Amino acid sequence: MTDNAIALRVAATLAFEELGLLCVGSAVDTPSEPDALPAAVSVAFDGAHTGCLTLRVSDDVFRALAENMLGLEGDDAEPWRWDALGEMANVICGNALPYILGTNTRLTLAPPARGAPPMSHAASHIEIEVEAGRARVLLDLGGERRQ
Amino acid sequence: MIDRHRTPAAAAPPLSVLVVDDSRVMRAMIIRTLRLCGLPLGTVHEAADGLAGLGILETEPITLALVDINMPKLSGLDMLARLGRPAAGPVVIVVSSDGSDARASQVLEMGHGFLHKPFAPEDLRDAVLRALGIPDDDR
Amino acid sequence: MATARLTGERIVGVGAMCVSNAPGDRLVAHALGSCLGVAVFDPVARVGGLLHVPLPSSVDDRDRSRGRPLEYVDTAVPALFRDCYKLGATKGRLRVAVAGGASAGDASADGFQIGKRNLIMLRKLLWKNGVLIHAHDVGGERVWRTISLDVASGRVWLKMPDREGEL
Repeated sequence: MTDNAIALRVAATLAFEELGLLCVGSAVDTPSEPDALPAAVSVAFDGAHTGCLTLRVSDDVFRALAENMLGLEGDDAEPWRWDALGEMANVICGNALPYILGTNTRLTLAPPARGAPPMSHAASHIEIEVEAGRARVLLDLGGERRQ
Repeated sequence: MIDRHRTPAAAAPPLSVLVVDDSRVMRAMIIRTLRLCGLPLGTVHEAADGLAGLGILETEPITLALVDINMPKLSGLDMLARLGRPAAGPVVIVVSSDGSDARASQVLEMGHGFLHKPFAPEDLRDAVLRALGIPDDDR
Repeated sequence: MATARLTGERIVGVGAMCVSNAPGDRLVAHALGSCLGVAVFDPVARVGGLLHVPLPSSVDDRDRSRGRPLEYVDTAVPALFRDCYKLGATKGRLRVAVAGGASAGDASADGFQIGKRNLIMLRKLLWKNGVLIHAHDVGGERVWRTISLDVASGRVWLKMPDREGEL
């Protein structure tokens, strides 16, 4: 596992367990098919570096996040699901980037957007078990911005 | 110690609260936690961006503000900078996922509290009580 | 195992709980590793309870869990609160202290992550029911904790091999 992937795993574990109240298991070597992780959100960032972080999750994780974050049951959480997933992506991004780019790097994170933009082949990624489901985090670093 | 049951804070004037965060779910989590803290809550205002938050801060007698950093239209820190330092300004806690040392230092230099996301509800409660100067057993 | 009585000290074994309003009682759960010790106290009704629970979810273990509600966090914690209510406690006044939830080692040695799962299940349950934790000492690797609740004062004590004090 690369240093970037380790940072993504640590940040994702923290976010899913602390904020989503979902237990994270092992990292998965064989990535899931895209259909198995149907819910995706992306957070673009800008500043000393530009890039984008994408979070994809299985349907059970997608549903559980909003329920757990708000303490709601089933359908009551439905209107909150995308917002909950977006906040997870935002928190993973905010926690992983200081470890990857340095803790004195100032960045501006855009609001989370639904969907997954195309990633470069150099993107870092990690897939983890989250309770009985899965989550995949991809980070595309566009490079350092010259001042 | 869990045997005390004094409630001086409950006798204090109700807190007028502003929660500024572009995440609706995060605003709901923060407000739910505040309601569970046992603090005397008055009106709770919400804003989804810094510009809307600034409008409320300039027109309402807010006593406690919980503010995200990265938001559309106007960031939380720019919002607080534009507000300046009014004599009877609110107690401010910046709540952000930005884990950089640079950002935390900037917030502390502005004289605000800082709470890092993700947080447990108990962390938020403790940060609020600390910022308001209320001992844990006094709720 | 049920609770045992020894001069006011009531030992709460694994998969057991004790609720009391007797001022002379001290409720104790020994040697919590990945298990959780959950102490609750209502300072007005002066009712206290202590739970010693080993596993997170009855749903994951339906066959075994039937008839053993106190062995699972998701069924034991509601039972603890219900028994406190029977003695006059109310949810809004109950103060919650938690100890335990340690891991059996690093990730490779602790594949089941019982301690972590116990803590997450407890937090999920309390948050859903609108209850915040007032004091905790949890997590760590191969940590053994003993928690006790003095029903007269509501004070919760924590004892570990290297330290001891009020929680």
